[in-house]
Amino acid sequence: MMYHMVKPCSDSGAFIAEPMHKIKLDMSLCEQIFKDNGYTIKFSSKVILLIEDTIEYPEVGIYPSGKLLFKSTDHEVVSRMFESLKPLLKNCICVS
Amino acid sequence: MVAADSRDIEPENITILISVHLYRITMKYSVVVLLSAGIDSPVAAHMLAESGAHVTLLHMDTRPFTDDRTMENVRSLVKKLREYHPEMAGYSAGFGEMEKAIAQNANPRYQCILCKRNMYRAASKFAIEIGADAIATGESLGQVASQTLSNLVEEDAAVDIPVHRPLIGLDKNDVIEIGREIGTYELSIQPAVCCMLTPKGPKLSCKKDDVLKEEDKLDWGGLIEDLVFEPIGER
Repeated sequence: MMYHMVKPCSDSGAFIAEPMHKIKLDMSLCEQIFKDNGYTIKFSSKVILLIEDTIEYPEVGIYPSGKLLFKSTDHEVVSRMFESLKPLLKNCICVS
Repeated sequence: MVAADSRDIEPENITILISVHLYRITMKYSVVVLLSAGIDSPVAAHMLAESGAHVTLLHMDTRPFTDDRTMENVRSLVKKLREYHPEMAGYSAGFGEMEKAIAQNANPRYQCILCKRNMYRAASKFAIEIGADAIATGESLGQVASQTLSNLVEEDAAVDIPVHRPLIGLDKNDVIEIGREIGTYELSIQPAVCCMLTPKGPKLSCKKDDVLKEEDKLDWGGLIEDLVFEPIGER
């Protein structure tokens, strides 16, 4: 699963990771998988899943397209968190 | 605005000018301005206050779909505007539950228009509570999805109170220029998370019946009723 990381604009307070190929996530499955792996689900809907890990990591928005929005401007922290999310995301894909 | 030299004014116009100034001083027109952390709404608030209106600022706090930095930026903007208009008070109300209800129940393409309609309702409720005559926004025509003419019409239709848009026909560069002059621009562009619920393909032109159908899927009345308006403290 290949992603590229972008900062949407210079004054954005977030990083976005987007899949390089079109995928679709099963949002209900996604919620279950992240819950089972100890993440706090802050909000769940068919358009976004908002999760939180620990105080060390920022909140992350997960979209059905596979896009991830990290609420942080710290590239290092975001990259570390991204690596920990990737294996779980693989299991959420319903269309690739 | 450059004031004309009084020596250039024709005597017959002096009465008119005095009347205009007296009107500005004595009129009690009170407006609730919806303040985001962006570039436009602080400029709109400043322009309305400069024209003599009594302005009260209202920020709709959309956390968790924005972040704490957004709220910090709003605090800084209120503080800056109060340097020009010390009587200008700032309030905020939690709007996250409304955003959640829209995201969970409505067609995602209607997220922005339903959000705006309910922000207007919240501002209208607040305006009635404090005895204001109107609400105002920093919207200008066609800038984003919710600001197409047909969407603005549907947003206005959500409330009975007048909605003013002092920036409606201004070019973005002109708004930025005013923001720079009054010192709000630099505060507006501080890093923060933009709304995480903006859909990929928002409706650019909504039909009234479709909007109402989507809106009926959520208990917006109860959510508006539950809103609490709190003063924004300066830090």
